[in-house]
Amino acid sequence: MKTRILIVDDEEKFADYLNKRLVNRGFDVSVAFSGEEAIEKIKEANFDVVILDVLMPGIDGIEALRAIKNLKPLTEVIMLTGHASVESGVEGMKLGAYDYLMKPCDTDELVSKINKAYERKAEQEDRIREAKVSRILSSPRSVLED
Amino acid sequence: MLSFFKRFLASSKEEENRAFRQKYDQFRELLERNNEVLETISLLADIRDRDQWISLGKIRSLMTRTAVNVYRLIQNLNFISDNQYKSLDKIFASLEAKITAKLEVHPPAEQGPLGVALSRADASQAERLGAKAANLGEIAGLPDLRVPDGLALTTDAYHRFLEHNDLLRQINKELLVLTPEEPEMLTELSERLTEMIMQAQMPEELHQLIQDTYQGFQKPGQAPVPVVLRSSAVGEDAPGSSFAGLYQSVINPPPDQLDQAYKAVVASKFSPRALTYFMQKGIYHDLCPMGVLMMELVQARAGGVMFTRDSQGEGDAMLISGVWGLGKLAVEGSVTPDTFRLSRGEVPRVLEITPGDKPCQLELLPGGGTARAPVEEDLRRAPCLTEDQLVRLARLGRRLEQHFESPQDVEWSIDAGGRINIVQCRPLVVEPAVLSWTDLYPWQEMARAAEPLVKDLQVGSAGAAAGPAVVLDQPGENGALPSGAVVLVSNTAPDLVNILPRAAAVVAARGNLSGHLALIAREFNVPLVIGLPPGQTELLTGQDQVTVDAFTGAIYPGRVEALLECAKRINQQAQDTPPSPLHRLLDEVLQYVTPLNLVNPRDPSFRLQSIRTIHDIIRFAHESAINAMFGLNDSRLMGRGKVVRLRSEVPLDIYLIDLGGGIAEGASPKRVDPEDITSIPMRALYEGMTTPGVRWAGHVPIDFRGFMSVFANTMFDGAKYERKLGDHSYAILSRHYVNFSSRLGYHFSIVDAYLGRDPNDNYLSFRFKGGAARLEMRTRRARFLGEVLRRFDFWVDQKSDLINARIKRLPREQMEEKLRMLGRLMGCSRQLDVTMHNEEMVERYIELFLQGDYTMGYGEDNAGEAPR
Repeated sequence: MKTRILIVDDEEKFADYLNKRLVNRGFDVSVAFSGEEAIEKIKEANFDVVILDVLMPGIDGIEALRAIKNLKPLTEVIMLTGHASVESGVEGMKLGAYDYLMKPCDTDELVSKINKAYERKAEQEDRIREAKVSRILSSPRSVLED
Repeated sequence: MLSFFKRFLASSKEEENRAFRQKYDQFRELLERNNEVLETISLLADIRDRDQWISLGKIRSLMTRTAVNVYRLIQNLNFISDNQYKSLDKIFASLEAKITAKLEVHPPAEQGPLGVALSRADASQAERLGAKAANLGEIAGLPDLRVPDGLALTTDAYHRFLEHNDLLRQINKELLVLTPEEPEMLTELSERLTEMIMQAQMPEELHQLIQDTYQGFQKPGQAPVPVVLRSSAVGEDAPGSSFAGLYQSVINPPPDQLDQAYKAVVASKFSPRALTYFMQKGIYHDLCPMGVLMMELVQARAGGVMFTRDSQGEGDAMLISGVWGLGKLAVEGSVTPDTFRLSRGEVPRVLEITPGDKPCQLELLPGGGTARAPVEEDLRRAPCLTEDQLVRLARLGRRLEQHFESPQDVEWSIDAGGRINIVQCRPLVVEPAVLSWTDLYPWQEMARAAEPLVKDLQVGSAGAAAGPAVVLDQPGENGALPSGAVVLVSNTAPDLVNILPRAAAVVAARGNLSGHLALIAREFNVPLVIGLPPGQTELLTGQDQVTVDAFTGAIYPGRVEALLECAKRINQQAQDTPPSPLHRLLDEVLQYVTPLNLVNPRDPSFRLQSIRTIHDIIRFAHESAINAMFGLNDSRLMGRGKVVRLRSEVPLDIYLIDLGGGIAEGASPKRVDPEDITSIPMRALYEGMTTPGVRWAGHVPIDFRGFMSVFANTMFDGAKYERKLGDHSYAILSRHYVNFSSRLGYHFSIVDAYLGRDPNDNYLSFRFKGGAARLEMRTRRARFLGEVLRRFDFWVDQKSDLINARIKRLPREQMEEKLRMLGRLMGCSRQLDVTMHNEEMVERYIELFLQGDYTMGYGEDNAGEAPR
């Protein structure tokens, strides 16, 4: 299955450009032009990796990150900084962002980051699956609890 | 479902292995982030030192990326070391806060008034009103000086306006793409920003304030009083920056166009001219918020400019220029103004009158705006000021100069009643000319000078210096280094930092342009060149003196005075030229980033408490991470993970732990053949260990078929208690990594190496301790190991029978070669300690090894006899 990407950026030109680049690299790409739209899309569908611009009108990147991590904790988020502050960078990492890239960014670098982020997500999903299995093994009744 | 359980149960062993894998992954990430931070630091330091252009946006995003890297790097380290370094978080947080405080421009937390009447303004309010309005307010308070009524719309008003429309974010986003390399995009960008600002909405309270003030200027029953809106930006008075004529003024806007006039002044901050000026001067727009001055516009009979000192503030006369009507035409250059020179004495005298040609003048239109009107023919070449007016004006100039304590650039106007109004006053700016090294370099002299001994070197730190060339073998041995020498080193190891204060210049055989040493060399102003070809050392040390040209990257015999003179002038100029606001800011930020205080890991000051900068953090973390990875062996390794035995050709019981990519896919899960090793560093090491001639047996006869007999036959000299070191050797592998710890009888050794694509990531470290013989002999063996490794360019530290050796940053192929050598060395030195009867043996063995006699003189079949 293709890695599912959501690009979130209010700058339509940039979002479209990135969209094309990532589709060419074989990703399954969706685009949202605001934090609000991104959150709606994330409620409806599952994405593996979200690429999130830090500075947007309305709810900004950090708030959007917080909301995404609340909705889908396993979804990895790569932040794109334009004019971001140093503070917001570290804050984003603390909130669980996978990494920060500088904008405009090199496509190869972004693709490599996406792949690594996807690996981390897959690993965490594995771990959770295994934890579940071991719970079932130790207490078969727990199947009924989920 | 059942098969799933089976798979799960099978994988529980892998679970144990995963712990190692995770540590290794974190270690790799730490290396990557370490390198990126170093590169960024180096880039920023370079921009500062060479006065290159950079935008605030770029600095911020580079620093954000750096902060993120350092944050993760600390996490990596804590993962690897099982949270041994938790206090790094706090140290980093405090540095981060300091950097943020410098980089973030927060509008003043407590909001001040949107407007301040000029009559209540003074110079101390420049931060909120802009220098122009603040100065005029100050002048309005001085006796004898007239300033028209006005209202300073503050920077709070400006921030309110931007915030109201979410403009700052959009502006910053647009400006991020601005570079001096693409001037054609400037116009387009400027148009977009102007459009954005002109379309923006006026906050209601600001609109109301402007309207009320305008009404306040009006006198009932009289003709409408015209106004002018002028820029009064913060930072306009920055030293070395004049901002002259950079921003727009809107003269006589119609009453219903006042809001648009305000916006137009704000928008002029982003005119192509202003943007270009910002770039050239290193001024960042969000640190110069725009105050706007709305002032009554005096119906001027004449207007113009006065420099209270001519010749760029250094002459001994005053210079006045003027035109009929509004003074704007005098500075625009569209008519030739009159010029007047006056003496600067207590009572100014007119020295010279040069009438200009003023065919037209600027007049106010009743419905708003201005128009050019023809000047009566007999006034066209007549002086616009009388001698009496000139003297009065000059006196005012003297007062202003005395009050502000420097030569001033004054805009004035005279109304129909002959009263002089001051409409602007600022320090007269003299812009210094800055020359680059290419302007100052003595090209002609150098063309005639002697041929360089070496050329085409890379420049790590620019400059020039001369001195005797001295080879530095060991960083630790710099006590003997004469000061003022041109120091030749094999690489740019950070440990070399402590030679910089005494070195005239540093010449490295190889190294990293963006590494620690280059960075610090620039800070110390020590020229550094990299890439001295092998075999050139004697050519340099054979000279009495050499001159390092770290401009073009060459080394000349003797002292080349022209070059040294050039370097001196460049240094002088750098000291004389005040840095731009942006470079000042960068410098302030970098004081928390670039300096390196933790240099030598063996120094007692190499600890958490000594960390002062980001550079210190990553240096500390890098060193600690490598140590923590070394800690992977011993107890934590035993009995965990998937261990596969190697079908070894050498009498070593080697177990392999594959973290991924270290063993060929199809290999048997029980026993692996040497051919199955796919780990690049392990392969190289193993190849070395099995080089023909290398005799793991040393001179001791052993039974090759039984591993245990090795140990049974090697009990010499007591020290039997060391036996507990164990018998097995372990290698943790991945495609690019090996951590090989071997415990052979009475000694142990660890090889830790990473060999990747990027030479900057590559390193090889070797640790060796112990032996079966008594300490004296073991120490001799350690000295043998150390000396050989030094010959092969390793950094070596020896403490009795302990050897720590390291080499870094070589391309993969060269690292493989070092590993093969190390494999051979480990093999043939294995039991040498028991033969180390005297110091001469050390020298002899070194020679034999370097000659390629890996039997150490015992020959293939001569086991058991000491060499003669």
